[in-house]
Amino acid sequence: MLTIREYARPQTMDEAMTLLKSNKKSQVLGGGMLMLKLGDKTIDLAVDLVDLGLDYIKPIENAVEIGAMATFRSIETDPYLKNCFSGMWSDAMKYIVGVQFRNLATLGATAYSKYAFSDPNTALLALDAELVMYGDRRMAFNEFLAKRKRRFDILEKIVIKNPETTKAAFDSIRRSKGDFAVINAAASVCDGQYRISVGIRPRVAKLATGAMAYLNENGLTPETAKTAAKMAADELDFATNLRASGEYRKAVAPALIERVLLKLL
Amino acid sequence: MNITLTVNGKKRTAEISPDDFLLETLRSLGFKSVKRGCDTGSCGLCTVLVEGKPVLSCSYLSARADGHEVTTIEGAGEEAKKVASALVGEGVEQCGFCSPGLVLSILGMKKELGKGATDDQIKNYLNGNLCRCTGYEGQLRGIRQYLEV
Repeated sequence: MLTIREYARPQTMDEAMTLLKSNKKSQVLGGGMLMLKLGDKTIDLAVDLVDLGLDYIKPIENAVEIGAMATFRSIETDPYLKNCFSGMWSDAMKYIVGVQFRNLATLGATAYSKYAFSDPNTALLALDAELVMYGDRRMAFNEFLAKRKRRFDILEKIVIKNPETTKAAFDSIRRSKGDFAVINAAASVCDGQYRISVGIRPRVAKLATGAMAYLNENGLTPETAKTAAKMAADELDFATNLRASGEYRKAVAPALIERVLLKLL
Repeated sequence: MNITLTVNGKKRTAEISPDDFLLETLRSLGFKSVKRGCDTGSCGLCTVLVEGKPVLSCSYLSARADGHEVTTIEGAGEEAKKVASALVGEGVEQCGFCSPGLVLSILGMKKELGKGATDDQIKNYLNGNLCRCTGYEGQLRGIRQYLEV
């Protein structure tokens, strides 16, 4: 059960950080509350980011900035993003529960929380996204996933480079639309450099660096896609949870990854 | 804490706990059409419109709704009646528990996708509205009828 003792809606990032630091048991509310409410937690002071104007999608020179409070639905339907990254964002979002859910869930919350079941996190990893924290502290998403979080931190935005020149693809295996995926995969290529990420292993998304190096050297063809997909599945570890066994994930991964890579051709 | 929100066009104040969700607050204000289904953000029964967009009231903090416009089926007006009539006409209503959330989602869908939504678009949009009674076919026919009129 979720208990919140005090609630605050700061109007600036500085105010938000001051509030956060004012209480040891404070917590940022940066998402749709969907996962938070399922847990058993007491928050002394909830600092809601909803009034900070972080729900934007903004093209900048050679990149796009996505505010931490941009919802899944806004990303899914954004006219600019539809024409970027081969339209991959729509594929990454469209099977997440329903529109009502996606009108609440935010990219910042899923990324900052390092949710292992997240489709967008696999996409962010494949796109080499950069997280920008309060105070303009920047970190590659890959690095963020590997490090411990700071106690007092606020994610402001996510920056993704080369939206118009990066080809990308996403796919997943799920028992039904709207359910969590059993496994997902994303890939991208920009200037001949490939990235492959696999998520819901069931652990958090991870890059298949060996397979990436192979494609960077050999290029992408239907034959190298097959080889790279097998390499990626072999180098990553998979485990069992409620939705599927590790053996199943390992068995289907090559086909899923190959399917994603072929979309880049 | 006290909040003020506009529900179906009228300003309402409510005394809430910081961890109250909009579902509870709306029902305590008398809007019993807002149903508690799964309470975990999966079924869509609790759907209301906030600033015209469908959201899950079971997962929307009431404190966050302070200052915003909320629409429940009670305030969705003539358009909601047209949707309901089309659904009833196709024999869709059984227990009726999912209907308020479904109708509001349909209104949100029409606003976003327009009248020309394909069957696939309709199904994808309404994927978050579960119904345990039907197999969704009657609902799809009813929605198609509503959109075509």
